[in-house]
Amino acid sequence: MAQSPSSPAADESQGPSGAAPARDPLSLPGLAHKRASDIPYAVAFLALLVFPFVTTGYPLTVLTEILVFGLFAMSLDVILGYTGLPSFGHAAFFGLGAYGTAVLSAKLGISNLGISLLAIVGLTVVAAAVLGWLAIRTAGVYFLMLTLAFSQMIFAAAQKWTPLTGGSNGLPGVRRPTLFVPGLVAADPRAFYLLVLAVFASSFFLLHRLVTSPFGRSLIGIRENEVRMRAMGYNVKAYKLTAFVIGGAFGGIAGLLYAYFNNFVSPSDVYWTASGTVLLMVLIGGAGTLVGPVLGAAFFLLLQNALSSLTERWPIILGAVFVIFIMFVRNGLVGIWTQVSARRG
Amino acid sequence: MISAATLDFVFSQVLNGVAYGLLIFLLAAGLTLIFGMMDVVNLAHGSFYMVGAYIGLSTVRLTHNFWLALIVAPIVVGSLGLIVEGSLLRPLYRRIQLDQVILTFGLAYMVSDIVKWIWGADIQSIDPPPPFDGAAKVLGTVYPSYRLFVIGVGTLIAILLWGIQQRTRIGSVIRAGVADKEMASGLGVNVAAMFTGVFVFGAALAAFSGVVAGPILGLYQGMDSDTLIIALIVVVVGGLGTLTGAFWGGLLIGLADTFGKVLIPEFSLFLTFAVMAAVLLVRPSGLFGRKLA
Amino acid sequence: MKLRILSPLGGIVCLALAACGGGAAPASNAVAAASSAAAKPSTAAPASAKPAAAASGSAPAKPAASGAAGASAAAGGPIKIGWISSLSGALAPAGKPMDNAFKLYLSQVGNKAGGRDIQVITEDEASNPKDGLDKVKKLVEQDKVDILAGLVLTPSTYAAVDYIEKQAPRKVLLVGTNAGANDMDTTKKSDYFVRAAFSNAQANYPMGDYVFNTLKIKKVYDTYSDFAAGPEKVETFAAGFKKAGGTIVGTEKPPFPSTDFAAFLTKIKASDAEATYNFEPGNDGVQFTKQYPQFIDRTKIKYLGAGDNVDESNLPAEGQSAVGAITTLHYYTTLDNPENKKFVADYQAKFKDSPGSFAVQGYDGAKLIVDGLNKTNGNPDPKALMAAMLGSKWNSPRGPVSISPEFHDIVQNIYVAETKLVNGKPQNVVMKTFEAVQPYQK
Repeated sequence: MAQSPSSPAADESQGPSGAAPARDPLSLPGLAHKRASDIPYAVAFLALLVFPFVTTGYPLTVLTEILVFGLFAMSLDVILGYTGLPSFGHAAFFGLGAYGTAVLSAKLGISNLGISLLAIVGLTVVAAAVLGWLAIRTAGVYFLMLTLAFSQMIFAAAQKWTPLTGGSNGLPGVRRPTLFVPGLVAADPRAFYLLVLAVFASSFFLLHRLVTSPFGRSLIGIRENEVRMRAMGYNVKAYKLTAFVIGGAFGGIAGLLYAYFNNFVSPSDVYWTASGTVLLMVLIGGAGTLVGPVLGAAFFLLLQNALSSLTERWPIILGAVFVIFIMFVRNGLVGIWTQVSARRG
Repeated sequence: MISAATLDFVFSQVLNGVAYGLLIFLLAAGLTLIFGMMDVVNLAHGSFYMVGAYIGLSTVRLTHNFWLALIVAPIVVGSLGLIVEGSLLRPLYRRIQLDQVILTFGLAYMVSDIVKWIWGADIQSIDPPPPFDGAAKVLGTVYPSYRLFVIGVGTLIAILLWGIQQRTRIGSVIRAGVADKEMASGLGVNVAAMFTGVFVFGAALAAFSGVVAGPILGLYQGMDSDTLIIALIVVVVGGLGTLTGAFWGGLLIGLADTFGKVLIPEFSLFLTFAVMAAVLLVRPSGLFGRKLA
Repeated sequence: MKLRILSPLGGIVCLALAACGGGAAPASNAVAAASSAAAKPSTAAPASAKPAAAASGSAPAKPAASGAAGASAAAGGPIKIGWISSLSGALAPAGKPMDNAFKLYLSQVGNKAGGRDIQVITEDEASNPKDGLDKVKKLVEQDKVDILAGLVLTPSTYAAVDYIEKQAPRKVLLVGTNAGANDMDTTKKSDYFVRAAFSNAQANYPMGDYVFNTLKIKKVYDTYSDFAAGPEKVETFAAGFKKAGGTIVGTEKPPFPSTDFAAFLTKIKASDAEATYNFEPGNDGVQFTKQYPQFIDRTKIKYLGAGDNVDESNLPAEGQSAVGAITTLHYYTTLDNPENKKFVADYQAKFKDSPGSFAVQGYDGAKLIVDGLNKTNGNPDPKALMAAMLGSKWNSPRGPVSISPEFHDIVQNIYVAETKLVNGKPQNVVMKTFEAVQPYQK
């Protein structure tokens, strides 16, 4: 939450992004002697690329979903992890993206990826600009609840506007997207996975550029000490709003991918529990690291799916995992890596 | 011009709004203190409410005494709060707030399933206790007496809390803590003890309101998160850390919700959120809250 | 930096691969279908990371739907039923009894059907459609089940049917045991979906006439929880009621979920209705029913409505407040027929609880599957199984039932019951039976 400048947070308890803002937030310190090595990213990307040629079937389905929610979590990280805005309504943009795509595909028969992307980005940018402008007037818990309020209103619209959204029954019948040329459908699991990977990788690349740029560092500065940034002449409101809009837009893209993946959208995808889940993913993975939230998404999805198939008592185990996790892990999953490689290196 | 029936109708709805509003004030009171005082995000607040309600249920089943339940539940849940605060929460005070989110969220998940394990998934309810199990006449209107009881209890608790806050030493210590922790600590206040005390009190109050709300809102899977959300709304509308805010915020939301259902039922689903958004846009720190720097 | 070059390059590579992989085709997932037909008939595969078959490029031929299922039939191994119910979350009071009774029936037939063993893989829908669909996918793609059954939620069911028809690597039959959406009888009817539960409109078709002509009530105020099932049930009643000559004096649609109905009850009290016709499921029903007598004099405005409000899962919590309600449903625990007596006794012995409508739906779902498999000699192929199931008749605890070939849905008796105190406990006492009510009527 936005701290007052003289708050005790300015002590040893580092925020999840690490101690001093000068450190590259994306560097994996195992290779600390290199500045921001890209090798781990390249390796990961190659592994993801090769995966569908090694196996298809259910594991591919799971990985596709992880990428979709990984993107969703990354988009929230821009707002929450880097800028320090505790958004509890991020499902709103995910929902706009998902429902927008679903309406285009299931109701209007438009499954063209290019058109849908343009429409969704346009829609979410406008929505995020309006919502952001209104919400940024508040801070901390108030901001949290205001974003929640907006996302609940979108939920209410999804639930009640039955002719458009299918109401409480949701919108099934979303078809897989056509690319570039009519007739070229990314239908089967492998093709669709590669499409999702393409969007995910491109988004990661763009966001990476964003958060390592001077703009990104300004965001971190605002998160760490807003008053000082303002004193230095930064238009803090404008920065916050831009971050909010960017996060919202990528959240919408994640929603678009989700609609195509699931072939079905329902109001529960926009309910506040969805905002809570993605928030958890960011926090567990490590806020302010971009990679962390992706790991958090993987962790959460894999864990919940595995547990709920194993035992009826899965909520207890899942809750216990979170409690134990937070007691012993400081900076999220990324933080574990940091601790491990710091000890090694 | 205005018929007696209409007056009767409007008055009944006002009573509905006030009863519901005071009920959610009770739900929110503990939470606002914890927030304001300790700066802690307690997502387990709904869990305390739920456990309190179920313990109240068992107490009533065993002893057929609702009044006993009103005492037993807060004591039990308060003790649970003591354990939680001491063992789990306290190590996290120095950490960022978002870590507390994960902790309390994990706790809420666990508690919800433990309750289901012990009491089952079936829907339960507590009956209103005699003499409040019928209807009474208020200014010529026949109205359920248990809701009148809720209005009474809510008002009583509000006055009690206000009195403690304004008139007693503990109250002034808490007010000081809410206003400025470091200063209070510097002045010799045992902040750690205060934290524990406030948390335990918040948990106990949540449990108390669980028993009070039981006959109206019922006991069911998911009551913890439903309650948490409404409590958060009231806290935010009223302003963090202020009981006055929780009181008036509760009344505002209660009346808005009720009259929303009467006048614009199509939109009542998000009216509560719209009211909250409207309040925050005009007063970004809630009705009575202090500005977060 | 490498990343700068790699990522856009990688993105382009992906898109190119995706474009190649995607055929100009209707969305038939030929790739995985071909691989599963080639794979060994799977015994209970643990959560293995990589299935044996590595799919080759795109095989544009439409998958032979019976091929994959035929593989397991030929082997004579166990039949795998993927069973999904809401075991956690707000719908657990419905999902758990459904689960209990489904397994009760299977155990009563020795977990065998069509000469083969039955293996049930249970998954939790967790009271939300996303989890429901996720589990359907897992059961079909990972566990390679032969038949699917269950699902409490309507959106889950819609999504599951759509998935089976368009996206799934193998086709399986889904036996629905709860979701009652009306259009699944007509516009959303599917070759892969058969319902052993009810349609939302079904129990409410005969009520309009009954309320007006038999109960002699002329003015009704109706209420229903504001989600899809609400109007499907109550507006069906209202249409029949108005046709018979009655008047609907007002309609309230409390948000779903709600816990406090004071505002709505106050409005009803101020009206000139002779009765209310209500549908609020689950906890909403409990609170609504409990709050009703606090605001409304039941001798002046009677409580009528859907039996869901006073179902076995709600009745204990409602207690006295439910007494006097007159409701309609396809099943009441007190039904007096030999099958039900046995069913209730068996259920109570095993689960220490009274079975309600959700339980009987699970029970009948299991029976439908077993009988179907017996007829197909253990072949779970969806076409064969559906053909075996359509037209089947049996005596259920609900009375005589049959599966309509026209609607892929259950034809059953509809009962009207009054909630009375029997030995100090509220019970639904049946007072009227409508026989063989179709799930869909114009």
